[in-house]
Amino acid sequence: MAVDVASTSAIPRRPLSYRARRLLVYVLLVLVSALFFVPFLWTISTALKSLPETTGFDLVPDNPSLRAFREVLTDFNFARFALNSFILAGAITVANLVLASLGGYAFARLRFPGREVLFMLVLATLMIPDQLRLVPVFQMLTNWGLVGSFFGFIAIHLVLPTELFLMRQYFLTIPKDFEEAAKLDNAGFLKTYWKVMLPLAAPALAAVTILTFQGMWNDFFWSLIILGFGDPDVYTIQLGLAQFRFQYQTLWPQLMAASALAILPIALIYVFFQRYFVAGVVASGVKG
Amino acid sequence: MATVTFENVTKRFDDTVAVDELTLEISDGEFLVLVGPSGCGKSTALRMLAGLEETTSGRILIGDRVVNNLAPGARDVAMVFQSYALYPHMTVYDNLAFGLRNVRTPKDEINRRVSKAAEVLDMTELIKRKPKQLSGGQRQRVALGRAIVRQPKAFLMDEPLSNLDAALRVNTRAEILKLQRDLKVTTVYVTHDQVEAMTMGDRIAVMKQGVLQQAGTPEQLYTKPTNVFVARFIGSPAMNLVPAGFVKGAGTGGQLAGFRPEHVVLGGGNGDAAYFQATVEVVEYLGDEQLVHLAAGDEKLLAKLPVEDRVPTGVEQRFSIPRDKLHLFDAETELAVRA
Ligand SMILES: Nc1ncnc2c1ncn2[C@@H]1O[C@H](COP(=O)(O)OP(=O)(O)OP(=O)(O)O)[C@@H](O)[C@H]1O
Ligand SMILES: [Mg+2]
Repeated sequence: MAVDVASTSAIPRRPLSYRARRLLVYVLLVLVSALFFVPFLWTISTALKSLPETTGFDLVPDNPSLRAFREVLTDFNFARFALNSFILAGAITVANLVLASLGGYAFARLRFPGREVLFMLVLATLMIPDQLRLVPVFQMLTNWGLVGSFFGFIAIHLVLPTELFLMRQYFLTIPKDFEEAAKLDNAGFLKTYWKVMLPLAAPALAAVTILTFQGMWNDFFWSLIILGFGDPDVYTIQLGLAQFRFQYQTLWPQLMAASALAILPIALIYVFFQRYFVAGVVASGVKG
Repeated sequence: MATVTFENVTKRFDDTVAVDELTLEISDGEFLVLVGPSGCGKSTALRMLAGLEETTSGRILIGDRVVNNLAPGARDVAMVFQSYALYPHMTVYDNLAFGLRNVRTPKDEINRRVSKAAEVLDMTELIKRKPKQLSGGQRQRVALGRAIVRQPKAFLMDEPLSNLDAALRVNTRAEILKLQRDLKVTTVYVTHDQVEAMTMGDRIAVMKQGVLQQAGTPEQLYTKPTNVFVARFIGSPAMNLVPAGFVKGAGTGGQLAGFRPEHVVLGGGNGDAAYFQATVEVVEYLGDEQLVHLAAGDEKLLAKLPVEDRVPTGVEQRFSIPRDKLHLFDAETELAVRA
C-alpha cells in the first residue's frame, strides 16, 4: 500500500499558519535584540580601529588591532579608576544590602508612630532630581571636608530610596506565618530578621545588589561633583572614560576600548546573580 | 503538659468582636477541637493562646500561669500553621532544630530529639531535604515534627489538614490522633470541618460569631445540642428542623422540632413515635443507604433510609421518628427545650 504508516500514526504537525506566525515572532525578536546589540558591536568595532578609520561607517575594521586596549591599560590609569569604582560601588552595595533591608523590614513590619509619614518622605526624595540637590549636598560635603573623598561619595549613597522601597515591597509579600513560626520558635527580632527574613528575601537582595552596583559603577554625575576636581587618583571609571574626550578631539578607539572593559563587571554580576532572581524561594515553603 | 484555660477572653478588632467572652477549660492531655463556620473566631482564639494576638480582655492560663503578657516563645506551646510555614531555605533537620537551638539546647540533645521525631513521623530519609523538595503530605509531617521536638506544654493546630487531598486527610487525621494519644500533650485543634471535629476531638467546642455555643464530647453534641445552631452544625447531613406542629406528637406551637435524617423511619408512627406525611421528591442512592429528599407543603426534609425501603418518587408516605431522637427548640431563643 502507498499509505505512509509512519506519518499517519505520528503526532499531527501543528498547522502551517501557527508555524508561520511563530517564525514571524522569532524573526521580529531577533531583529529587536540585534537593534539593541548594534551599539555594543559598534563599540567593539571602533575599539579595534585606528583613529582615522573611526570616521568611516564600516562595521568591520580594515586592520583590527588591540592597540587601543593596550594603551588604555598602560598609558591611562585605567586599573586605578576601575579599582576606585569597584571600592565605591562595592562599599555602597554592601551598605545598601544591610541598611536598605533593615529599613525596608522596619517599614514593612514594625509598627511605630509616624511610619507612614516617614515612608512618604522617603518616597518623596525620589521625586527630587539630583540637579536640585546638587548645591546643598555640595555645600554640606564641603563643610564636612568630604569633597574629593570617597567618604563623601559613600555617605550620600548609604541608603538609596529605591533600594529601601524595593526591600519594603518584597518584605510585604512574605507571609507573616514565617515570622510567627519564628516567634514561637523563640527567635528574637534580630534573629528572625537574620535567619528567616533575609534568606527569604534573597531575590530582592540580589536585585538590590545588581541595581546598586550597576548604578554606582555607572554613576557620572555625583562622581564628577564630589571626586572630579582634584586628584585623578580618586577618579572613578566613568570620570576616567571622560578623559578620552578633549576639547578638540576624542580618542574614539581608546574611549570605546575602555567602555567595553568597563561593561565587563556589570555583565559578570548579571550572569552571577541572575539565578537568584528566581522568586520561587518564598512560595515553596507555603502551601502544599 | 498542662491545662489550658480561657477566662472571659474577648478580642476586638476595631468594631468586630472576633472572640466574645470565651470561657473554656481544657484539661491536661485533652484533645479539644475548636470548630465553627468561617470567620467565627477560631483562629483568633488559638492565636491569642499562642501569643500572636493580644487579648482585649480576659485571662488565658497555661497550667496555673497567666500567660497574657508572656511572649509567644515563653509560653512553651508549639503551633502547626495552616500554611505549615516551614522555613524554605532550611533543611528539614534545621527546620526542626531551629526552635531548639534558639533556647540553647545542647547539640547531641537536639540530634536525639530530631532523630526521634523523624523516626516517629517516618521521615528519617527526608531529613536533609528542603521543604520544596517534599510533597504536601510530607511537609505536613515536617510541620508536626517541628511541634513535637519542642516537647511543649500544648500543641496548637490551625486547620493543619486543609491543604491535603481527601484521602490523605483521613490518613493524617488518624496519624495526628495516634501521635497525640502517645505523647499525651494537651492539644487545641481548629477546624471548620465538623467531621474532623467529631472524629478527632475528646471534646468539641462549637463557636459562632465569636461566641462559644457549646462544649462537650462528640456524643453530647450529637445527642444533646443546646441550640439550633449546634444541632444543624454537628452531624451530616444536617438535622431537619421544622415547626413543631408539623410533626404529629412532637412539641407545641412556638417550638421547632429537630430530627436527624438517619433517625427517620419509613412508616410507623404508632406507640412512642412522632410522625409526619411527606412526598418523596428525589432519591440519592449511596450504596448501603439512600438519601431521600422529602417535601411536605413548604418544608423540605431529608431522610437516610436503608436501601431495602421502597420509596418511589412522587408518592406521599408516612415517616416517623422515635420519640427519644426528637429534639425540641424554642422558636424564639433557638435554645433546646427538652434534652
Ligand atoms: N487582624 C485582623 N484585623 C481585623 N479583623 C480581623 C483580624 N483577624 C481576624 N479578624 C476578624 O475576626 C473574625 C474572626 O476571624 P478568625 O480568623 O478568627 O476566623 P476563623 O474562625 O479562623 O475563620 P476561618 O475558618 O475562615 O479561618 C473575622 O470576622 C475576621 O474578619
Ligand atoms: Mg482561621
